[in-house]
Amino acid sequence: MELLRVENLTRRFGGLVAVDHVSFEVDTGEIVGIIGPNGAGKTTVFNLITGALSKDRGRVIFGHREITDIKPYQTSSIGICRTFQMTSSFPEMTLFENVKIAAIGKCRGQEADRKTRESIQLVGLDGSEDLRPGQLPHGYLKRLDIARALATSPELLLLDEPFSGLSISEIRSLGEIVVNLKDSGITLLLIEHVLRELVPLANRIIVLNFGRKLTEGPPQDVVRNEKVIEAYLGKRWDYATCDSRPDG
Amino acid sequence: MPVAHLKEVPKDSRIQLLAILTVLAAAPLWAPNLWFVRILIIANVFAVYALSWNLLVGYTGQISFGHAFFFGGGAYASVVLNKYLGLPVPLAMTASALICGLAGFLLGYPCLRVRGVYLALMTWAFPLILIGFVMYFGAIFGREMGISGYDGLSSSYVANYYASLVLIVSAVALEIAIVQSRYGLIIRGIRDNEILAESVGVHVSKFKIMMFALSGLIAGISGAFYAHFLKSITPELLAVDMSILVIIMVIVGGLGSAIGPVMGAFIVTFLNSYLLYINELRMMIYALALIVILFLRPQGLLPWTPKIGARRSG
Repeated sequence: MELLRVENLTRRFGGLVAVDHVSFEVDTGEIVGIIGPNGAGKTTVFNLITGALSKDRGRVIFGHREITDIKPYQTSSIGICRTFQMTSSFPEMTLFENVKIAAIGKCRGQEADRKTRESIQLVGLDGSEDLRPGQLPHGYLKRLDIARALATSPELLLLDEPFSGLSISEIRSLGEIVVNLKDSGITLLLIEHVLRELVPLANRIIVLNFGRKLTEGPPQDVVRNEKVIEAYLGKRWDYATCDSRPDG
Repeated sequence: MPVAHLKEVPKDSRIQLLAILTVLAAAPLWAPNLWFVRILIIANVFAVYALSWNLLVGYTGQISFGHAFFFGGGAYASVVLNKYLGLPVPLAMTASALICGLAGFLLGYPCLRVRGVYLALMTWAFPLILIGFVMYFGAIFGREMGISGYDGLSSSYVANYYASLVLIVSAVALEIAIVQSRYGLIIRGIRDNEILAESVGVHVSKFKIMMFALSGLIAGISGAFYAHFLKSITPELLAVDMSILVIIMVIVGGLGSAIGPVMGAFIVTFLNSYLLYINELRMMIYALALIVILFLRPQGLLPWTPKIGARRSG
């Protein structure tokens, strides 16, 4: 069943067309990846879906509701929440408060506390509730971003480069969390550069280049696509390992 | 419920608050003379003014360099309502607070569009509008000479002192109740990271305007109390000095704490009364003190303030 439909999304910055007539759908329960080189318009698509940027053209439909003109603060109340490319937090608050501020939008009192604890547990940060973001390593901050988004009880979670800057073991562990979220019924749309982790996770991958959709499809097809290899992956791309072959 | 939120204040902080309140409640007994009681009353009023600035700046992160607009505006509104419309003092004070709250609500809108230095400049301009108003309608507002000949508070200093104590206790209780509630978490979130707060469902504009209105209301009632206590006001209440003074009080006591601004107001008010004899140098001394405090101890001069606002993991 279709959960999100994006139709002809277009956004210009002066003479630059950052997102150019991009259309795609995300079905309930899917993990969909968005890849593309720097400046391809991936984060701009997130900003357009969540209302952080206004659209020059196009429509966004979530469930059966058109949300083209939605404001950023309204997205979480309808069931969409996002994380940001750079880790983002409330530096003067504890980890618990960092998550609770998201929970209190939908529940009150002890219910908000329960939802907060549950979200923290889901990303494996229990035990760190009283620490402040400045005391947490980068990997924990990435998880905190996800916990905060989970506290809004989203149907659709938009994760902007959740694996960036993480070690291989941290990526694996976060990958498991992403799968658990999918199993719990949350639909995920991920922007990611770490293809080795994205390919086994995603049901479909959308490729953007210069603001346009280059192709979309199952990960195994996308990583063999000649246009994708030329525009993004490079000639040394080895689809068996989902990585570039070393020189020589 | 405010009482429920007050119960969430840590026990040691509650004891500290109770100790401060006991000392203040007994002030007429230990004060050496009426001049001292008078300074205490002014300190209480300035503490409420400082709490209003702290709510907007310390907790919500919205810079205001023109808070004299609300303090002086509250004073003028209450005096005009009392002198020309014949409203009794308590009613005039209440109405003036509501007028200042409404003004905060209306001025909050243009403030939504600017941030940082631009917000500081915009708020700095607010009291200038009122000064122009006071000067233009001189027949009503008395131009530079100001207004006098209106009703004061009680003729008893002690009664006035306890009225000011009720005002400050109410303002502190309100601020603690806000900070301990879910709204406290929300406004601190706006202060720390607006974009992130918005992404998790916080209607940032609505809360900013609410805080402008509430801060204006609290500053307005403190200004009105000040006016009826002094029994004469001049446009100096709207001057830049009054906007700077409240900043100094909060910085001295500690930004973003419910008790810090109160302590700061007491220190600055008493200092102010002793520096009256070198009036020309007063602001220079304050400005230098501000620079030194911001450089050496940006969290405020006081070694402790009750821990209110930081919540445990529940």
